[in-house]
Amino acid sequence: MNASQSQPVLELKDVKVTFGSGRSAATVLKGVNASIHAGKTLGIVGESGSGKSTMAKAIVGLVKPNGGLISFSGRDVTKMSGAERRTMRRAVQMVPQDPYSSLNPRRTIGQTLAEAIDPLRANPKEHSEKITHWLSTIRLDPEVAERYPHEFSGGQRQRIAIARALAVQPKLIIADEITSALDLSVQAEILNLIGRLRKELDLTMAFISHDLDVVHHVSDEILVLFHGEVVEQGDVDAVYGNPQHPYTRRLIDSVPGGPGFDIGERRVAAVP
Amino acid sequence: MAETARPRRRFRWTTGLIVGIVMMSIMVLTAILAPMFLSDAAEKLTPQASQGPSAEHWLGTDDFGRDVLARSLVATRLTLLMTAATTAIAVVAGIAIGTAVWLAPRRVRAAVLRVIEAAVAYPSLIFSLLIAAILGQGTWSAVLAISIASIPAFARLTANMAASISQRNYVSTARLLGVSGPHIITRHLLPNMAEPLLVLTATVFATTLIDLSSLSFIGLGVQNPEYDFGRLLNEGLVNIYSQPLQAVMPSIMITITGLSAMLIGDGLAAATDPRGGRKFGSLRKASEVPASLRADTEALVEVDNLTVTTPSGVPLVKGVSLSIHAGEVVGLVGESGSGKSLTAMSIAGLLPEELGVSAKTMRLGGLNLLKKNKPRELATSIGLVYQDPGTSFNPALRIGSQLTEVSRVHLGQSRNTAFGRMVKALADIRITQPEKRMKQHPHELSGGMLQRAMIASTLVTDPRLIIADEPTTALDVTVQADVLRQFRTINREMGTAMLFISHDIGVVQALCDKVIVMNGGKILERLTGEELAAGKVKHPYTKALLAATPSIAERKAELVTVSAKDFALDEIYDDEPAGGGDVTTSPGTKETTK
Repeated sequence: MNASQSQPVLELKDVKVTFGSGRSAATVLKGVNASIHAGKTLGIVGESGSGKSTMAKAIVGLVKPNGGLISFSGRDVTKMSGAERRTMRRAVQMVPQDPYSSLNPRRTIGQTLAEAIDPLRANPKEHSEKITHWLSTIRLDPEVAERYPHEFSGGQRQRIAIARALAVQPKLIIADEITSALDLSVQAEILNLIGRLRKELDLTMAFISHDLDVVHHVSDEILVLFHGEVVEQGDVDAVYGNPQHPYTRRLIDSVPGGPGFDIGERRVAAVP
Repeated sequence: MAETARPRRRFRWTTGLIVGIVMMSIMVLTAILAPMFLSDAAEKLTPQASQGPSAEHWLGTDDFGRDVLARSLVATRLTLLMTAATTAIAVVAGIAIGTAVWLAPRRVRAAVLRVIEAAVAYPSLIFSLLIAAILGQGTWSAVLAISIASIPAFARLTANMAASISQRNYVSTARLLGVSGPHIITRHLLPNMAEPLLVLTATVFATTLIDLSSLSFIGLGVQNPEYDFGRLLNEGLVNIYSQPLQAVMPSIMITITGLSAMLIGDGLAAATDPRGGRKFGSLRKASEVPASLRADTEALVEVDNLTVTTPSGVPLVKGVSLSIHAGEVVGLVGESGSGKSLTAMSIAGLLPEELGVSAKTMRLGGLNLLKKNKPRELATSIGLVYQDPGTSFNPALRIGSQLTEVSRVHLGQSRNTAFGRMVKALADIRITQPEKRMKQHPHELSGGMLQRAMIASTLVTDPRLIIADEPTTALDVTVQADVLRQFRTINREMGTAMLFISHDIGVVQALCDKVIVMNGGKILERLTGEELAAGKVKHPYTKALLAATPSIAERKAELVTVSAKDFALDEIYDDEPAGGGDVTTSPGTKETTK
């Protein structure tokens, strides 16, 4: 435990991402520092345009940073050769936001999971034991492996997408707004599952969301992004309880139902 | 959640498809059988040259005394073989190129796509003539020429389809899983574009047939002694005045083959179009039930026993009664499918016409909302704010002309007056540089600013009621707070009544005086915003909803998972009296169930 404390699973140092070039260049990440330790969940919050999706893409390698370094278990990904990076890729898995476009409608759940376990052959029969294991991990019946995505509800699909990420047995899971497309009751189901998996599997996770209530619920640490810069990072209770940066303060006070929320006086004699 | 969002498509047989398949089967049978039985008649030279139709030769004979009908039928085999081979080459190569470019590095992809586009722009028949001239005359050079010329068009269409599918999340996830390029094509790209590809293949088959026949017709394709439809046409052309029937039969055969392929293609397209076959119920006017006598004269809006049904008679809203007093903010909260938006949109008169709406009473002030009202009256009495400001504005028009539309069209204000008032309204809600904003296009403003501008525009007509359907759902949390603040200010300073629809309990409890909880098309509980905020709820469903909501105020160890279906209860803790005992469906509802 102490060894893993000293060396984070993921470390970002001064990561810069710029899209375009010349006068139309837009710097989306302006030197971001972050780290996630084994078994911990880092909540990444920010509003639209803050760069949180770009940060996720940079971590999984879909976007190439212009500067800084991203290292997994102490090894810099940006300096890896193509082959090394491909093996590294499986170490980070992403659960996408939309449960409807994240599963191939023409492949059964078993085929989808088999592909995660063995991308080369993807034969569900060879891996039926593992498929059963991962389906039971997400509390689904083993026989659903024979069925197609359209037979499942949004929450069930999201659970299957989580199982697909788990089946790779990655070192880090990135959850990108995984509850935003879901109804309240289904969101609760997914958040509970994530909570259980964190305990049972000792997951290391980056949980990206615009919903401060949700991030508060699942995270150990929190990182606040604003216009491509990290304005605050720290223990979740410390940040929520005593935000240091004025933007964090404003963000937390904007949460309806939160302690600092104020939209002005009610109309006098509103209820006759 | 929307479990039925993508139902499995059922194959639909259309007349065109059946006719096409029958015609094609006859052609294929002819291609198999005719050469077995009619070769002699078709190819043996006889002294009976250039004869007219007779009992022995139904369509006469050609210059060498061969039976015209037999030759046309026997030619079917070679023609179909050539067409099938050409189509196969074009389709396989086209699919291979079209999907492979999506795995290539970005620059290679761009270059290949430009080359394909250039090839598509060049007329394919001239292209194939060129290739045929280089390869020389003959059957297989014609096949190669036409297939090479058809590849670019097919590759381009495949590349376009692959482009959209490769953007889907399951493809990018597969890349993260380490799935190789060829496997991504076979497992993820091809199965998801199989149907359009099949349709395109049928079309390519038809055009290929014409192209091959043309090539043979001008003498570049099939050479003597072989013959296909085009070759027969070429031979018939010489005698077109003396032996017209010699040219007619191959023409008919080309037409039938091409037509059957087209019919199959169109039939497949129609059969696989998920939007096809949707049946609409009969349109029906809102029922004209007289206003109930127990109308709450004090209430501004009164809805008594509202039901909304689908054309097939499935009830979506099952008898909802609510009232909104002047100056009151009423929140409708519930999950998707609870009927909250349908309830609000029936009050606004904006439901699709195929839905059946009925109620004992539905009025706003003296305005009977069950009747067809004048658009002007509705537009000036009710202000509407939609969910996504990004899509509720027309991107091609300036903000100003869209915001002032109601004032100009329904209040008859001049362009200048309406513009001036709108500028003032925008300034009132502290939008900076209002005059400049009015001249800008929607994409130049942020989502929050657009939404606030939209709210400001509803106020210029001084409406009695504002209906806001999830107005802050698409907005960032700090912008949401701004917009809620604006709603609160309008309500406090102008006393406008509001019906506020949201799935977010936090938003509703902060803004609304009264909250109505809906589930499964029914009202389950009515309470005040303060009661909800304090957790003083009575209905198990509302309790469960609160327990399922994570909150920064307290960290719950385990959230309660709610299954909306488990709470198909009635409104048991209603403190308002429910609708009268005579709760029956109005005559209008029955009509739609037919």
